[in-house]
Amino acid sequence: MRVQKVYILILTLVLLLGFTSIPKLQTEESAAVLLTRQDIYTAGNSVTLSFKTEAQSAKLIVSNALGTSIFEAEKTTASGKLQFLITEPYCKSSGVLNYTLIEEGQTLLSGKIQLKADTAKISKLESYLGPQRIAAGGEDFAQFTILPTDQYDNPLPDGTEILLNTGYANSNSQEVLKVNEFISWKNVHATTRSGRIFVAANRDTTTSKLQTIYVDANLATDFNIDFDRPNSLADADQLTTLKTSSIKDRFNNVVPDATLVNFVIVTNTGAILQTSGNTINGIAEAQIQHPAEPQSWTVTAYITGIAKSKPITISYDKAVENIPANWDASNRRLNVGPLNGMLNQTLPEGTVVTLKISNTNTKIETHTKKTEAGHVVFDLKKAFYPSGIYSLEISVLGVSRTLNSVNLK
Amino acid sequence: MKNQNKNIYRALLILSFIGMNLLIVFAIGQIITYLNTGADKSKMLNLSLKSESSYKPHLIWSDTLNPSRPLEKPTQKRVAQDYLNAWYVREVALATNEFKGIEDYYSQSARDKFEELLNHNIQAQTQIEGTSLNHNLKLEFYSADGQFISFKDQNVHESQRIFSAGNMVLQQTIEASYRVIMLLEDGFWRIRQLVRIPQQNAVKTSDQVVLKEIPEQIKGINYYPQHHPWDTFGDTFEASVIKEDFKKIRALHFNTIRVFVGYEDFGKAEVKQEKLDKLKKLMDLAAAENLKVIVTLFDFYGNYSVIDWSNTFKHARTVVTALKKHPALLAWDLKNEPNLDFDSRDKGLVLFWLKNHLAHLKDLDPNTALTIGWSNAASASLITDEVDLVSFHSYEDFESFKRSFKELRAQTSKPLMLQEFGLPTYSGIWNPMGADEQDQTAYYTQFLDFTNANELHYALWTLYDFEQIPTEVVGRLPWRKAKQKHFGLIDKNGTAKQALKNIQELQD
Repeated sequence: MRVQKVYILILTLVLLLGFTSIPKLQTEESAAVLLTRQDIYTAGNSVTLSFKTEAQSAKLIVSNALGTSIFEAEKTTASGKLQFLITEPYCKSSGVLNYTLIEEGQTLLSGKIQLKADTAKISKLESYLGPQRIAAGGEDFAQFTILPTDQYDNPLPDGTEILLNTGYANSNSQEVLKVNEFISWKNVHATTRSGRIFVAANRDTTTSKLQTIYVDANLATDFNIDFDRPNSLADADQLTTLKTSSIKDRFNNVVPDATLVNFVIVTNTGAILQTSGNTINGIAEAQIQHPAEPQSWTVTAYITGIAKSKPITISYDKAVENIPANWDASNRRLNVGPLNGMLNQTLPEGTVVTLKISNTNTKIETHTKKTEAGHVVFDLKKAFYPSGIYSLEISVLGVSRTLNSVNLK
Repeated sequence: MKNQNKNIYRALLILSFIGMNLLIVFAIGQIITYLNTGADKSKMLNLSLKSESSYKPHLIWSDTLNPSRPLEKPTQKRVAQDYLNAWYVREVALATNEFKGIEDYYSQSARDKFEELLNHNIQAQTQIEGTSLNHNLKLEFYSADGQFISFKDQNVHESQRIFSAGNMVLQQTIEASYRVIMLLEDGFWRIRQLVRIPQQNAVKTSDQVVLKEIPEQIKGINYYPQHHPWDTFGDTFEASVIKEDFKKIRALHFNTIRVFVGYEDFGKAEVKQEKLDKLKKLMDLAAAENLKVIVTLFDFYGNYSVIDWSNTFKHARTVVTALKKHPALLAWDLKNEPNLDFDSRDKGLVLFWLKNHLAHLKDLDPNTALTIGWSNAASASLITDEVDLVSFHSYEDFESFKRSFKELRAQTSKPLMLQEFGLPTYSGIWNPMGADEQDQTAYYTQFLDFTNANELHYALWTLYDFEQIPTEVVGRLPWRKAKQKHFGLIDKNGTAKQALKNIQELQD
């Protein structure tokens, strides 16, 4: 019984205290009351805010994302009531619109309304695509981003459905995308065949721009090369054409035109020559001049860092059979020629002839001259070459002939 | 005679000939110099045009996760900078009603919408001085090709002063959130969509903030080093001198000092680390002597215009964040005597600035007391709710001080502080009837008896007499400077004035 008394006492105390604490009342009577009940509007419709207030010269300050403006009240219909018509551009921009009713620098009331995009009139499906060129195979992709807006350029609310159409060769596919946080997007993956993928979005009668994705071949795989030449002579005159097989990726797509192919030639003397060409329909060609002496070449083609060919070997034969030469001892003159090729034709003008002069004192000198009508003349002046026994070695296009024990008087 | 004349003519002729030649040579030189000015090869690529931005709201990327492409650090910076620039050009356009710069940072459709709005304001003669104070970006989408970005900007505080036909009608600070879509167009990130979205209510921590304890009675003194007053943290900063001064101050039974952080001296928006280090050092020395420090911010700041707020916020943020944990810190004094700027800078604007900065300081450091050092008690009643300590200065005679104190006491229940008071011991050519050391002793006796009886916090002006007073402090007038030089308890030769001997007793 005692215990109960204590409980009752405590309970009464608590109750007493509970009722004595005064709830925080609005001490100041708000100077204005919003009469308009609607707080969500559709962009483009007229927005009117009415207030019950005694302040007849009050103004309404309105702000949205892009700026702030002041609106004056419309003609008052009744005393104690003010009406504001929110005009363009505020009434057609979606988003939150903050307003503050003021009079003489004092805030009477502030609040916010919301404007929604006009989903009934989607007027634009802005689309962005990137990157535009992708590699075949399925791993690479292009991203298609859509920013749909209504007729006032307001972004559409979440969940708005957009139809995405994708076309490749003769097949088309459709997919429904939902707008999320103003946009919707889709990664369009590459096909295994190269070609073009077309994407476009639409909703009802509004369509986006048609976007094209170019699917190019993926990385080239190793290939073969071959050569073609008018003859096999080392005449420093004709051209050998080097040619690749059709270069393809691992999905059998021909590599894009203008893929650069470098042909690297290693000669049997160890020199390295290089020529290059760009592919057309997967085939690259390059040309190179025949060597000036019989040689054997090993050719390998490279697409740098990506692919290479199997090496091939090309041999060049000598282009001259014999070298007629006549030593005129009285004039100290060496007549070389007529120099004729394998078909007995005169060698082209300017073919280089080398003369190597050596004597017993191992003095060696080299002279080069170019042919004129198949002939070259070397004059060995006494001032340079004192009397004695010399050996003369004549070389043309890698072929040489030696005149031993020539006595210069 | 004739001959002499002839010679004069000759001399004149020759001299004028030489003079003419000199003039011609000079003129040719000028023409050549002029033709050589202008195009400078080093400026051909516009590389030297990098200017420092003047709009620095606090911007953070709170989240850069997105389902598409990872956001690279340089892009993150570029987007943030262009986004801030977009805000800046728009704020400037709204303030001036001109379209300058808009096309650099807004894409065509966004520009059209904004231009319509601005034309509306031009017609209505509305101008908005505004600034944003913080941006909290949360990435939502960054496209695979890096040309398209979409993010949320949450809980942006914007301060505005709205003018209608040249008259200010409202100043307000609002909070809003935005969703932004930007496109990379010819090297600029441009705003394509900027929409105000409903606020997510920030989760308020319900923890009761505990204010750091204030001493039972603040017995303070305003401190400047004797040889470089108003330049405490300059090149002449000498820790040993300050240490000695603090020892003296402690020995006189003071428990607090008040120091001043010059806004420009500390580097405006980009606070100089060396200055902060010196301030920290000073506070360390104070802590070692068991002295508390009231730090007065924004000394000699006088702009207040809304577009400059992002800079002052940044300044305050750096200083407060660096020092808020310091054990010697007693209170932040937002501004010294801001009421003196009421006439030149518009009272409304100054109060708007003060209130917003107080809120910012409270936000940065809720545990430290806030105050404003008003130059008189009447102004102190303008802002009492937002401060923890109501401070005012008084250089009046005792009776009028008592009167103004009573008036202020009646208006607020917050603790009060007589933050500056003192009497100069100057009598000389500019003031032959000035007070002497005895008067000063009497003055302090009277005042300190009163403060002790009324439990009023106080801080004296000041420890030392100064030899040099900078012009910015009291102006150029020599009689003002002369007075300002003699407020100390110790004269310029280091000799204690009479009052000094009594201070210790008076304080206990």
